[in-house]
Amino acid sequence: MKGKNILYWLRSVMVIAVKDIKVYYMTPSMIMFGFLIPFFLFFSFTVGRHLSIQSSIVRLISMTVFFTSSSAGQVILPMERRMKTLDRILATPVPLSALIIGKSFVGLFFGFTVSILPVIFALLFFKLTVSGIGLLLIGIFLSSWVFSMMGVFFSSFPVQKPGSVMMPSTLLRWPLLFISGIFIPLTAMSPLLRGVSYISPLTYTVDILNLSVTGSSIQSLFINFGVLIILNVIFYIFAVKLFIRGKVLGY
Amino acid sequence: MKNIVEVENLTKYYKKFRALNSVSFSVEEGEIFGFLGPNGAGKSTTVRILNTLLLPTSGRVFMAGHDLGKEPYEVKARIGLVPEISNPYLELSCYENLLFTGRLFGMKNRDIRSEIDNLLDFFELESKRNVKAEFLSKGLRRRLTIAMGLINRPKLLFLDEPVSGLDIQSARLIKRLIREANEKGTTIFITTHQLNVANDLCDRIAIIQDGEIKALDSPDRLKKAAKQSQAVEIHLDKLKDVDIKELKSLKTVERVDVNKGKAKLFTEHPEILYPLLISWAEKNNIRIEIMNTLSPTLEDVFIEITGKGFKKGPEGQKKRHKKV
Repeated sequence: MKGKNILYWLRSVMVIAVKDIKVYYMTPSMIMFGFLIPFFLFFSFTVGRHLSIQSSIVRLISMTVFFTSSSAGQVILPMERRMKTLDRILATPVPLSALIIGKSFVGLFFGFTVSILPVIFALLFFKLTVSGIGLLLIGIFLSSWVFSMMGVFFSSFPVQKPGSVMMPSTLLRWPLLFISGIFIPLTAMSPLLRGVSYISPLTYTVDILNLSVTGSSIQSLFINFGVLIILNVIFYIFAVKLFIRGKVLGY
Repeated sequence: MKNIVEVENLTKYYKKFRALNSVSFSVEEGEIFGFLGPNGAGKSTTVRILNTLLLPTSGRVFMAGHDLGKEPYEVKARIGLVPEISNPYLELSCYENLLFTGRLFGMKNRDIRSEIDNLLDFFELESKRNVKAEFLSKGLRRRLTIAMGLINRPKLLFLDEPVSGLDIQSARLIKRLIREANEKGTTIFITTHQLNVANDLCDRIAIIQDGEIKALDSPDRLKKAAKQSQAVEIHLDKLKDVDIKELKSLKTVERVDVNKGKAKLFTEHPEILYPLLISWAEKNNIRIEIMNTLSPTLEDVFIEITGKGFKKGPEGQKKRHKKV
């Protein structure tokens, strides 16, 4: 049966991801929430603060992987639901898992690309030095996927307007930004705040990026990667459950 | 004839609200089946369950020989879906939209390309092959959307409001294309509020109301079974002077309505009434300018069954003109 065929599954993932990239990458919502906001935030909290290029690039990448990757799903899925194009996909033999992974790949590619460009730019023009380029790429890749999956999870609630997802998710994402060690290093936080910071997935991303760029980190790499992988799986499972719940309740 | 859809005791609750109450019906292979009902009757719920987009609370559905509950992927591979809104991806060309949809069904690229050529030709979209959907007119977008529903050569095509919002030419073309697709072997399942579309296209019609199937038959049989009797409408040159009581006293006349120079005589036997009316007019030196037989329309049947009409009375009736 096609639904169980691994090649069909992989092809479905890519077909969905490529279509979404072609159709949605240049939409105003994607440009606004996925591109402009992280860069505005970066300049607001960085310019004039005499940070090193290493610290600045970690700060910028943290925000791009976080905002850019998570925006894709939140823009695309409600739009597809409203236009009934999601119904067309759900009525085909494409497995739900392929649909969700495919949608998460869109944010992954978007976040990875937008994050990697400043790194290349800084390497070429600002004499950026990094401790481990491989670790940096893997860290950006995994983080982009986790936050993209988080966006897909948020948009798996049966809403038809991107704003209906963006509003609550932004309310959740902004506080995470300030407790994850981007603007205030974890070492400078009070024990209470530092404890709270560990509930934010962004904390683990920032630690990986710090290690790969500056060479210093707080937790072990094993914990950072482990937490991000587990969170990715959790977001995926909840997204699947929400889709199935939508099939029971209707939307 | 073999059934392509068999619905058995389908029930759906949205929390405590019962949207479908033990609905059962079947669709024969090769027919154009109409599914009608007022808003909130359970029409969309039924169709969404058949489209595999919604899970029923209880009941069974067999489609194309497969149990929807146990083999959803086998069912999905054999159906096509055309929603009410024409929704190709505007940023993609006609070719890219069809290619994407074909790939979702796991078709080989060679087969997709061949099917795209057939569909673009069939839907007269060949000249628009590489044109983005955003530049297509409403009618062309509708054709492309229907073509996307047919890319996997489905045994059963679900069409929601196939000609809604289209001009007359586009609507006629789409109805012709639907008939041709049906002649090629695709069973068509239409949901619509446009009763003339259902009347023109459908072999059989089911009417759902309050989550239950209230009627299921061919349009002609449904109309014949309607309680509303036939009527003869006459336009007279001096209607004002006519004694309505005399018209009421004519044999077989059940009731007479008079409105704006027209008299409508309700009867079960218009063929008996014609000569009586002509004799009556000659005797009273009255000229009958127009005489029409009015028979119940699908709209009358719909109103009778659902109790929710758009308009009642002679406006909804189909006229068979017979000038005297």
